[in-house]
This record gives sequence, structure tokens and C-alpha cells, in this order.
Amino acid sequence: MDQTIALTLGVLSSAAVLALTAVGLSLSFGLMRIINLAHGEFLTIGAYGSVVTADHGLPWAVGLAAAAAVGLGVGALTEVLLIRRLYRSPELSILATFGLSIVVRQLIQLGFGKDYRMVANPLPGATKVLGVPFPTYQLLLTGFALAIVVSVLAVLRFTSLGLRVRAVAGDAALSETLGVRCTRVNLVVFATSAGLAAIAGALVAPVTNVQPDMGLDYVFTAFLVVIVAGRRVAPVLIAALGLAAVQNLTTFWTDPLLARLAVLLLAFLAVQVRPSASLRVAS
Amino acid sequence: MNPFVRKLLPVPLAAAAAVLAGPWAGGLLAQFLVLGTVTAALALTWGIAGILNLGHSVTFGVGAYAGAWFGLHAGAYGSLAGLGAGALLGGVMARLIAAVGLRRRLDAVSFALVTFVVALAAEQVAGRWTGVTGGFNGLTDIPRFHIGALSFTPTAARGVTAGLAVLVIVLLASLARRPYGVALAAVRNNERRMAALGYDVGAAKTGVFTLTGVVAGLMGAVYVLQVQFVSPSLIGLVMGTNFVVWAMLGSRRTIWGPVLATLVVSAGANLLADTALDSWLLVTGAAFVAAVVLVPDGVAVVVRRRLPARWFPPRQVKLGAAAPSTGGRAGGGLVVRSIGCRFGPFTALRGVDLDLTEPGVHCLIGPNGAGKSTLLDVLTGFTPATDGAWRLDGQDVTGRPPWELTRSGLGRKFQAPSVAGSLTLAENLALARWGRTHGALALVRQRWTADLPPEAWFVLDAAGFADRMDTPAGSLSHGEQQLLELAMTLTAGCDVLLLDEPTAGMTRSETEQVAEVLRGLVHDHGLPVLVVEHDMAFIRSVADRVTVLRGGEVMASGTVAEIESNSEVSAVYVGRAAGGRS
Repeated sequence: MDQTIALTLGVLSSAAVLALTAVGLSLSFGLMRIINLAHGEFLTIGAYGSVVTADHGLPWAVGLAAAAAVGLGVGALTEVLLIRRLYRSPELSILATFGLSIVVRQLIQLGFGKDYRMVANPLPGATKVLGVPFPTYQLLLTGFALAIVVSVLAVLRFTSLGLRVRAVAGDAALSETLGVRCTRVNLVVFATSAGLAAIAGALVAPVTNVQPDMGLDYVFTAFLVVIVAGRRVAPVLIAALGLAAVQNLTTFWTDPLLARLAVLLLAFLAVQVRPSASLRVAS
Repeated sequence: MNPFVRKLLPVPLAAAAAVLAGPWAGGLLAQFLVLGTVTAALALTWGIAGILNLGHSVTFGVGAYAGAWFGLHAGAYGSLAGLGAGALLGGVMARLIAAVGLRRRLDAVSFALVTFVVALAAEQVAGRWTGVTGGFNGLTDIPRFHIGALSFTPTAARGVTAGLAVLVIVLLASLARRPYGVALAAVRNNERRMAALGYDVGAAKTGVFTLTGVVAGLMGAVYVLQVQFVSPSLIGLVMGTNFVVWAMLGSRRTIWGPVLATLVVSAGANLLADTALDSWLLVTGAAFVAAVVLVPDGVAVVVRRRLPARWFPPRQVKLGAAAPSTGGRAGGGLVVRSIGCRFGPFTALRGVDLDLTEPGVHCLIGPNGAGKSTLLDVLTGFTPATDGAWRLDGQDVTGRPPWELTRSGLGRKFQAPSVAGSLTLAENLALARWGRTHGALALVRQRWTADLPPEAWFVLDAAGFADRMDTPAGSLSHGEQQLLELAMTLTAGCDVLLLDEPTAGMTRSETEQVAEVLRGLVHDHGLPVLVVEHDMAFIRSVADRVTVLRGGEVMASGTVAEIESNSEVSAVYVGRAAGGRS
């Protein structure tokens, strides 16, 4: 029983981080049709942001805010300098973000070196949940990540900004004639997507090793979530929960490698079973 | 000097240098040549055929591990077994990836994402499957290339490596300029057009993807026998990244450009160390991003534009006249029964019957949105029918894919002209000639000669194309492109011809030519022709029969006179109120 609770909490915690990473990816892919291969590097930037603030002795919350700000800034810059020029060609945009990921990884390596960096855990110790001790910071992380994902979904669903974003996603040219500034909406969406990745990076920094290519680990599963969820943002939560459950439980019973492959298999099965919801195009 | 030889000349020179230079420099050069080969293979799938593969390293790495494993465990003939296993496993791996992505008709970008994810997973597997791959440390001390008891000196082994690399690069470059490569490029440009010409587009893409997997797997084994060491970095995303970057920088539409880019960039990466190396990789990455934004065609193409045009003469295609098809058409024509087509709640077609069994021009008219183009899309296999059946020459062809329908004898010209603009008229016509008859192997063997049927020559002569065969099709006017496409459709050969607005955007005289061509096709060649048209003057001059489509249903069918006197039809076109006033 205790083990079940611990496993469930573990799954929830992984799913929350995964959903936070994937929701940003899903924003840029689902809404702007840009597959952002540099999304993992935006996450890394956030993690290093919290490393830098921790090095200067600033509190954890400041690090989180700084990471979010840097993520937003880098995302906005990327949109203006690169993505904006490449909307006409999906292939070129995927290549540009691919190249950008190389550049960012290399810059981080030049600036911070290849070695692991650690961020001190702001909330050491454990809290009892239903009588089972669970790391306090993991609980906070789970709640925080979930809250952010839910608020992103709420903004999309219930605000006028969200309406404009969905309009541009549905038909950019038509929205433009209705008075929506597409370029600005795209800028906001892409910057937000990068900001969310950076927040995810700062959140996981205290519980992982911060290193230049850490983003790839997270983005692997996040891409699978997006592949399963398709071009809509809302199913990301369900897909993240499913994949996190499979990954955590397979890791628990067998080993991490098989878990990776199980997740990959599950994603491909999901695509085969529900092709309409996935990336498939009609013709 | 032959331009083909001139372009590829640096490759054998580099190979010779690899053999002659000392063990260190020569070894590195041989290693880079092998990588260049793999990049060239990527150029064929990605640059030529348009399939972006971010995980090209997966097939390369699988081949590398196969070469290493057999080299270590298979004894005297381990090197040869490794090369064979590398090629085989590379091909199998590529075929599997293609089965997941290409056969499922993922679009290019989603397929690229699949390859990206596979590369990430492959590195994890290689790093953790310690029993076979040696884990993160990899496998070391792999024996140098040898055959049985015959062992090679390091210099001779370098010779084998470099020789194989040169051979494969020349083969790839030759494939790219043969009809096979040009047909793949045409598939990249316009899949629908090529499918309508009878090419099995899906098989072509899966085929080239598997072929380049075989090449990458083979060269992976060659690479490992040269460097005598293998690690997960060969199979992972970073290696995949490298191939894409090199291909992009060197112009992925060419074979020789990516090879040179691989040599130059790898040389830089290996001559520099520590922070200089990190900076070099940064510069490479930045150059890649800049290339994507500023020169998406790559450096080699930009350089080539600056070189004298006479160095790159257009390809000479010999077009001949085929004997007229004797004995008339197979007969039967096209019989369409109660075709229906729904998109979700929207009904585009319902219960459409159509008979194209006699020689003659059958015009299909109707207001916008009546379902005319949808009907043509359904009949030619581009849109699935939800109801009904159609028979061609007595054979049930319902639901067949476009290329099979073309091969069964259904010819189709699209509404918007869709000729390959970068190819010459002659190349376009030659590709049209081979679609129905040639598979991949036949396209590899085919020379640049094609015999066109008399009806195609009739159109080409009427359009005055005879002395312009070597100009790019993109330089033709809109109306001329329509005529070229009509000639291509006729070249493909058909028993029933479907034309979607053949005179759109044409001048009066060009329209007259089309009318004359249609009458000729009907009288001299006995073709049943279905024409979607709006131009009533044109319809009066050619139509033997007219069918009116409205809201997805056949509203009336008859001779021109009958349709013109049908008050219901004029009500649809002019509007009831206006009809009342006139």
C-alpha cells in the first residue's frame, strides 16, 4: 500500500514536469506549426539561470523568476530573428531550431564547462502524504508545474488573448483580416513556450544534474507526448500522465532503458490507433 | 572535361592523398571520406527525394556496431561478414523507420520528428545494452580489414577504405543524375503530379530511404574497420546532427557538395582542440543557422551560380516518335456508378453516374462547389469515395491508388499546371513517358531517350515547342504550361482522358489549339475525354455531350442544345429571378 502511494506520487510528479515541458512544445507546434527542436535547450537555459542566481546566493524564488524572464527573452529573440522568417517553410524552421539547439548547447559549454552543476534543494526533507514520506520539494514541484499547465490551458480557453491565439492557429490569414495581429500573437506564443521550458528547467534544477545537454533527456519524452496528443494543447495533460506512468512503472519493475523503449512503443501505438489525433495529414 | 568528372574530381584526389599521406593524416582523411559518403547518401534521400532524416546516424551506427561485433567475434572472415551485416542491418533499420513514417503518410516534418526521436532512443540503447555494444565505453581493438589469412598493411587498409568511399560516392552521384534521381526530385517537387503520371510515390520514397540506409550501414562498418573503435556517439543525435549540418552547408541538392563540406568541417574539428574545438563547433552551428535563413540551397549551389553557365550545359534528352498504338483502344471505357463522397457531415458527391464509353468529348459543367474537381479527384484515386464503384475497360478499379489507376489507363490533367519548372520540357516529357512502365530499377538503367506517342507530338507541334525542348518548363507562359501538361498526360498514355479546366488562363488562339487537339484525339485516336469547363463557347465547339453537376448530384445530361434549352440549368447559372426578367 505504502509502495503504491509512493509510486503514484512519483508518477504524478514526473507527469507534471513532463506536461510543463510538453505544453510549451505543444503551443509552438499545435498553434504555429513550428516543431521547435531547441525546446530542450530553452529548458537547459532555465536550469543554468537558477545555477547562476544560486551562485550569487539569491533565493530559489528569484532564480525561478530570473529563469522565466531569460526564457521569455530568448524565446522572443528567436522568434524575431529566426522563426518569423521561416513560417513559409516548415522544413527550414525545423532546421533552424535544430541549428539553434547546437549553438545554445555549444555556448553553454563554452560559458559553464561540460561538468555537472548542482543547485541546492530549497526545501530539503520529507513530508508525509497519507502516512508515506515524500520529498517536500517534489510535492511543491508537482503542484507548481500542474498549476502552470492548468493556467496556460485556462488562458487559452477563457481569455480574449486565448481566443486570438486559437483564431490565428485555425486560420492565420482570416484572423489577420479580422484585425488580429498575427505577428504579435506568434511572438507571444513562441516567447511563452520558451518561458515555460525555462521555468521547467529551473524547477527541476535542484533535483537533477545541470549540464549542457540535459535538455535532450526531457525533450525526448516531451516530443512523444506531443506526438500522442497531436496538434491540440488540452490532451497534453492526459498524454503526459499516461507516458509518465508507463515510464516510471517500467523503470521500477525493470530498468530505465526498457522504460525508454516502452514509452517509445506506447507513443507509436497511440499514433497507429488514433491517427486522426496525431500528426498525420489528410493527403 | 566532362562536367560530371570535373565535379567529382576532388574525391579521388582526396582518396589518393589518404593512401599516400602518413598513417595519422591519411587515416583521418580516409575516415572523413567515409563520413562524406554517408552525408552524400543523406543528400540523396533529403536533398533529392525531400525526406528530411535527422536520424541518419541510426543506420550508420547500426552498421558500425555490426561491423565491430562481427570483426571481433566472426574470426577470419569477420571483416567481410561485418560489411555484409552492416549493409543488411542498415537497410532493415531504414525499412522499419520508413514503415512507421513513410507508409503512414506522415508529412515531411512529422517524419523528421520521428527520425529525431529514433536517434535519441538509439543512443540510449547503444549506451545501455552493454552485452552487445560495450555500453558507454563502446568496443575497442577491432581488427583491421582482412580477408581470411590475408592481412592488409595499414596503408593497404586505408586504400580499401578510401577506394570503397570513392566507389560509393560515384555510384550515388550517378544515381542522382540518372532518370531515377531526377524522378525522385520530381516527386519531391510535386507528389500528386508524379502519382498521376503512374509513379508509385510511396514505394519510391521507401525505396530510396532503404537504399540510403544500406549505404549508411555499409559505410558504418567500413568506418569502424578504419578507426577500430565504436561508441554510442556514432549512433546518436549528435552524429545525426553532423550529417544534416554537412549536407546543408554543402548544398543538399548535390552529391559532391556535401562530401566536400564533410571533409572541410571534419578537418577543422579534428585539427583544433579544447576551447578552439568548442568554438569551431559553435561557428559551424551558427553557419548552419545562417545558411538555413540566408542560403537555404547551400553554399555549393551559390558558388555554382557564379561559375560560367557553359560548364553546366542542360541535359541532352533524345525524344523520338513511338509507333502509333495499333488496333485501337482496349475498349470498354470508363463506367461510373453512384459515386458518393462525404467529408464528415458535408456531402460533396451523391449518386453520380457517368459513362465515358464512346470516343467523344464529354463536358462536365456546374457552378463553383458543385463537386466537379472532387469527382475527378475521386475517380483518379486522390480522394477516397465513400460510395459507389467505377470500371475501366471492363475492370473494377474502385478505390485503387492514383498510380495504379494511371497504369490501368486513366489519364488526368490537373487544373493548375503542375509541370516541374526546374526541368526542361524534354525532361518533363521523358518522366511522363516512364511513369506507367518503369519501376525503380528500370529508371536506374534507363538512358535519357524517350519515344513519345503521336498524339503527344501533335500537341507539342501545335504549341510550337519543337525548338524549345531544352529550356526549363518554368519559363513557359501559363497557357503553354497547360499545353505541356496535356502533352505529358498523353505521353503517359491513356484509354480515357480526364481534363480539369484545360483552357484556364489561355489566350483565344491557345484555346483554339486545345479544341483542335481534343477533336483530333477523339477522331484519330478514339479517346473518350471528360472535360471540366466553364467557357461555354469552347464547350459548344467541342462537346458531344454535357453533364451538369449541382450540389454533388447530376442535375441534367444531354447534348449541348438540350442542356442550353434546359430551363432548370439556366436557372442554376443565371439565377431564377434574373431568368424570369430576361
